[in-house]
Amino acid sequence: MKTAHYYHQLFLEGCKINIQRMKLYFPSLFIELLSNLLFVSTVLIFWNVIYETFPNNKIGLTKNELYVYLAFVEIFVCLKTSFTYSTGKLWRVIYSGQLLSFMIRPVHPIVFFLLNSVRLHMLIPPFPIICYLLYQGKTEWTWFSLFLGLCVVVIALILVSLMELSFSLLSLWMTKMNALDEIVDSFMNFTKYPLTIFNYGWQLLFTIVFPFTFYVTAPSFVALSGQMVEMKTWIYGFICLILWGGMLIILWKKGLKRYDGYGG
Amino acid sequence: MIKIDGVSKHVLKRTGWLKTTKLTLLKDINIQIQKNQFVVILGRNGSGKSTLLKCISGMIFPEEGSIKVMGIDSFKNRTKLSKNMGIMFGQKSLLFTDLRAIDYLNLLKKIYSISEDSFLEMIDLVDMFLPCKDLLDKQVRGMSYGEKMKIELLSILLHKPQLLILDEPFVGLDPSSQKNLLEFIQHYKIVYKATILLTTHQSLEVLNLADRAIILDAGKKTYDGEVNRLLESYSNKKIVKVHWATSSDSYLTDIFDGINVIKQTPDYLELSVEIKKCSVEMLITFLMGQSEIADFEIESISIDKVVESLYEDGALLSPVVS
Repeated sequence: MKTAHYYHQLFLEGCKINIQRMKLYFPSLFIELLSNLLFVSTVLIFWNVIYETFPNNKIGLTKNELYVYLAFVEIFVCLKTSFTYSTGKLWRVIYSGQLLSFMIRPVHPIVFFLLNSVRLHMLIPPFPIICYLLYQGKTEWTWFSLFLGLCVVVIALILVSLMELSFSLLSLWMTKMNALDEIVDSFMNFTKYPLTIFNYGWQLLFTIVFPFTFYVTAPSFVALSGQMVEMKTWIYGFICLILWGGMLIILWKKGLKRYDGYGG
Repeated sequence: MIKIDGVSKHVLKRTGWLKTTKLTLLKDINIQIQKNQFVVILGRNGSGKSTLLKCISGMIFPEEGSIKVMGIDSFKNRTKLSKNMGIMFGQKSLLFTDLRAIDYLNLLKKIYSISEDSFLEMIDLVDMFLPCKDLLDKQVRGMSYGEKMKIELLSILLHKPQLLILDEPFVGLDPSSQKNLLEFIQHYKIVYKATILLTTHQSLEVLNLADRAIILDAGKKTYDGEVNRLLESYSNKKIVKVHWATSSDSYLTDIFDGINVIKQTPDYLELSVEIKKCSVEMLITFLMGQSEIADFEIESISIDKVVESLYEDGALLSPVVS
């Protein structure tokens, strides 16, 4: 029986491997950090221009609240790229046959795959920006509401990983799945603006079927209001977790029976 | 240790826009392998050797039949079994290429919960046969094929598995490393009482060390038995090559029993001779009386030749099930 301690040890080893990679590929890391800073800066400039040019915009957030929202965008994106960056890329591992290297070891191949793709360094560049954004919107949140918001982000990360892994597993049948890269990118588009700009029908779709609401909108609103999100949203969230989790298990079990391996 | 009952494996291959073809990779395979046996699986390319190994290790699902390894279903219990299995695919590196070898090995140390002593012990052991300590700090992506194979081997042995599955382990190794690897496998089998399953096209000297050979052809088992029995029919054969000084056309098969003409031209003759039925000395004396000989050679049949002829003429063997 594998214990939490065992997985904790594995996670630490995954982090060590990541640090080793940082050392070995420092120039690449440096460029990665720089490009991230550049990206976040352009996002900030964009929203500043929007608020200055259209003070009566329909976003439904004050400028200070928007800073908190953007902080949560960065929190979600940096946690996603640090810990579950590769979940949408599992199909490549299946297609190339590298899955075999994960299957010969006594840990679940998906766990092993995730261990190998920890990217701790991606936590670094957004950190000062997140602090800056939260400081700008400091009147809008409390430490408790921030904590609650972070909890929702963690749930959202699990959800998005389950979704991406499930889609990736389709390559056990279809082998090549280039389109998935596009799909995964389009998922991330739902972090760029609060989903409250959509009507109720769309919001429901983005809560129940494709739970994009939980990425940034729900956690930032939890942090902003300092209150719990409506009970039904939590229920939808847990239903989504169960559904996508179940989907992943089914696809893995069925797909593995269909898997031909690689080579002879 | 391993019990394979009526295993068949089919795959659907896309051959057109909407067309798929069902291919049979394995057909009704029945094999039982005892603990501590060294089994060599032979067969042409595409005969199903690797597929069989993947089925045994639980990586792919056999549609028909069952495979039990150490008493449990290998597909359903792959994770559990992998604690006691070491699997290596010579054609496909399973290392993390962007890391140093030692980083990957350290990760495996944690995965298998291996103690530091045991970890170092195995590195020392492998290093004795296949020097690899100098490679530990090297990035895998910068290694030669042979170097990768050494690290690959080390990575599957760290947890001292009871079952070693080696698919083409000699690929990329120089002759001396091939010899060392063979010695290592033999040593490991004896010291750790391990069961070894191995496929190879190279280094057929491995047959001299193996307890048993299995030959697959187009997914079917055509031979399963002791290596000695496999080689027996060939061990009493010699190849005689004669270069005539002047043209000759002898009709030896009418005169001698146990002779098979392999190649005959006016100035060259190649024969296989069953030495139990025909004396090579008498044959040469006879040939010298026929015409002037410029040169002649007498060769034993090499293992490579034996296997080659087995692939070419499976009918030579009547299937034997041990």
